[in-house]
Amino acid sequence: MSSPDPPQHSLHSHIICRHQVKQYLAIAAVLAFITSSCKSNKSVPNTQTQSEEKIEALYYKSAAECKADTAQQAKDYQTLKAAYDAGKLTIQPKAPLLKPEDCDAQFKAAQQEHDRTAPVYASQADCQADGVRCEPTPSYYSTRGYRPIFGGAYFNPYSPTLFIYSGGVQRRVYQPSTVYQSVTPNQVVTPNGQAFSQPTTGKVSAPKSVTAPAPSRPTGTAAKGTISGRSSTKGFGSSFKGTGRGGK
Amino acid sequence: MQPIKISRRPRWRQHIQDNAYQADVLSDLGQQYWVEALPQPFAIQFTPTEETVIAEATEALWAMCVEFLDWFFDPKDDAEINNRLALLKIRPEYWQALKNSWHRTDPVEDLTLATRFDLVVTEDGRIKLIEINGETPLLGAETVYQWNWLVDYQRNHSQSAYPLPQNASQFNEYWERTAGQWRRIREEYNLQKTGISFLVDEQLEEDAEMAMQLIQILHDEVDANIYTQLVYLRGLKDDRGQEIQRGLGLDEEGYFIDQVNERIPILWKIYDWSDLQNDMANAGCSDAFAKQLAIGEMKVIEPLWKQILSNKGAIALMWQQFQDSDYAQYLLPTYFDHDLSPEATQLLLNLHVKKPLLGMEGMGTSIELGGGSLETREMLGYGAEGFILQEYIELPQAFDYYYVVGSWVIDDTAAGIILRGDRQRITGRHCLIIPHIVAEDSLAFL
Repeated sequence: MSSPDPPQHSLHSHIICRHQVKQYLAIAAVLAFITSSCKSNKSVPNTQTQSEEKIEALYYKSAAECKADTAQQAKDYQTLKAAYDAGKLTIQPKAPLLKPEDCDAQFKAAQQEHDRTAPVYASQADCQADGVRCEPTPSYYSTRGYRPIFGGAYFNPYSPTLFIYSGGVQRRVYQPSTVYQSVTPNQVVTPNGQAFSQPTTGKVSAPKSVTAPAPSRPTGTAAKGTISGRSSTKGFGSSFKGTGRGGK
Repeated sequence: MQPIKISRRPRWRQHIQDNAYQADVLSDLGQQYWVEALPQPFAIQFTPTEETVIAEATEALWAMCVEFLDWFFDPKDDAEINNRLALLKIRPEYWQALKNSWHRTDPVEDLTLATRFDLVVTEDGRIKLIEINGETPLLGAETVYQWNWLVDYQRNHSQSAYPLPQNASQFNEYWERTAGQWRRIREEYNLQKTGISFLVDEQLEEDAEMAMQLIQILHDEVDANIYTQLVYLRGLKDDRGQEIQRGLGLDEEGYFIDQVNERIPILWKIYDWSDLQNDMANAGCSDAFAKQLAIGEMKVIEPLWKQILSNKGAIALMWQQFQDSDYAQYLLPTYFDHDLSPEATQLLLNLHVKKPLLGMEGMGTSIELGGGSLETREMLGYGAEGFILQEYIELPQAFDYYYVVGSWVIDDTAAGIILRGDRQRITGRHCLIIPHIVAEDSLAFL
């Protein structure tokens, strides 16, 4: 490739970045669920990110859990900080990501996110077929049906922040990433259908790609009403007449 | 136009792996999909004059397609449009959406990215259209790779047993023209804001490879920050059958829905409109889907109006419309199989090719003479919708392969060619990709 061009005729090959594009798409798929409501468009694609790397995040199933854990974290932090201030610790402790008083606003945001993204199924059987535990849609929904039960939310310090009106004031909160309860015990299901074993409450390490800054997903519009077309016998792909695999 | 022997490059499989999409199938020795997998690889050499003639034919055929669609959707006679749509066996729920798709200008027209004509270029210089790949034009990656092959061959293998002419070029502007059309689509559809989803069949590796080729051109040449994602037709499952990523869905208002249950504002697909429509009939959602397509808020590449060009009945109608025009030089006499005119009956008795309205990759196609089949391809479920009869024309041959010239048209411009060969007269799925060069003759050795 580095040899000089023939004199009369300039030939340049097209550089093919197949592996990079593949990796980009793999990251886009993992990220879709966590940034599906990402409001930031400033990020730059980073195709070098390894999806196996873990980062610290917080996971709670309810505001009460959040308050209890963050109160404990605040206490621990005060102890460590006092030790550091007294010169007994060489490393400065990090302040907790969340304060107990943030929890209600965080969970309000998480609930809104759940309402916005949880799919609605026509029947309980359809819903459970996706591997999630289901409940009837709440009365404020425009569509009657079943939806996955809220299984908690991830909050990570690298996610964009948003404002939520809670407790009479505007509060800045982390963009939550919600999950659903799985039919399999001790598992949660992400909005893109990935099953994870249920994290312990509090600080967790989540795959780094989940919170990597790229690719940023544009602000989306949630589906309206029942989603059809995902039945293997009656949905998309059901009338395709295969002509075999391999070369075209 | 003549076949020339070429040398098999010593590390050809590695070169493909490093320089192509569709790399696994192209570098597979067993499938013989790329010429270097053959004991004696070959290419086809065209002269610059022949290149010009093919380019002119391609652009004339595209102009004919546009003229044809203007006639087909002529708003002055709605009943006639309906008759034509019925003739092509298109579901009536979608008729209004199809009419809107062709006529839409506000806020933006329904844009196409690319079309590929399959042409027979005969040794005596005739060029005849045999098929229009209107909505699922694969072979983009193969088109790009043959260029990279030429560059590598000229730089590193010019001392081989079969050197190419030093000034050999190629009729291949696929990359640049695709980039140009992506730029237009980015502007008109506001891709920076919406991103774009690529719908692929998870069972067909070539779909994702074609999508990735187009994504790379979009990111390299137009805008690296446009969000792209793959959406799978039925969803992805792991080895244990657990769903990893949900498949395409449709919401109550007829929008396509992605794996996180958000609407897909812009979709590129490599799956036929007729299959999408049949799927939604199976799911009982035709009305919502048809209504949304008629509104046209959701943009799809290739657009709905391409469904007409992909239907082989369109070629019978084109013959009917243009047999006395200049375009006729590029057309073969073609009729619906239910046509009882003297001309159609005459063709039925002579050597002709019988093709299903919707068949792909040669499926259900046969070469017939007076009621008997000389050569056939399996039906695989195609053909229930009806057939066309097309006058038979012998494909040119090289080293025991019959070959077809796939000719790209992008943004009304001829954008290059890609050749496919088959040992049978009916080119099928398991075909051979043959590179070509353009050079004055004739250093070729036969």
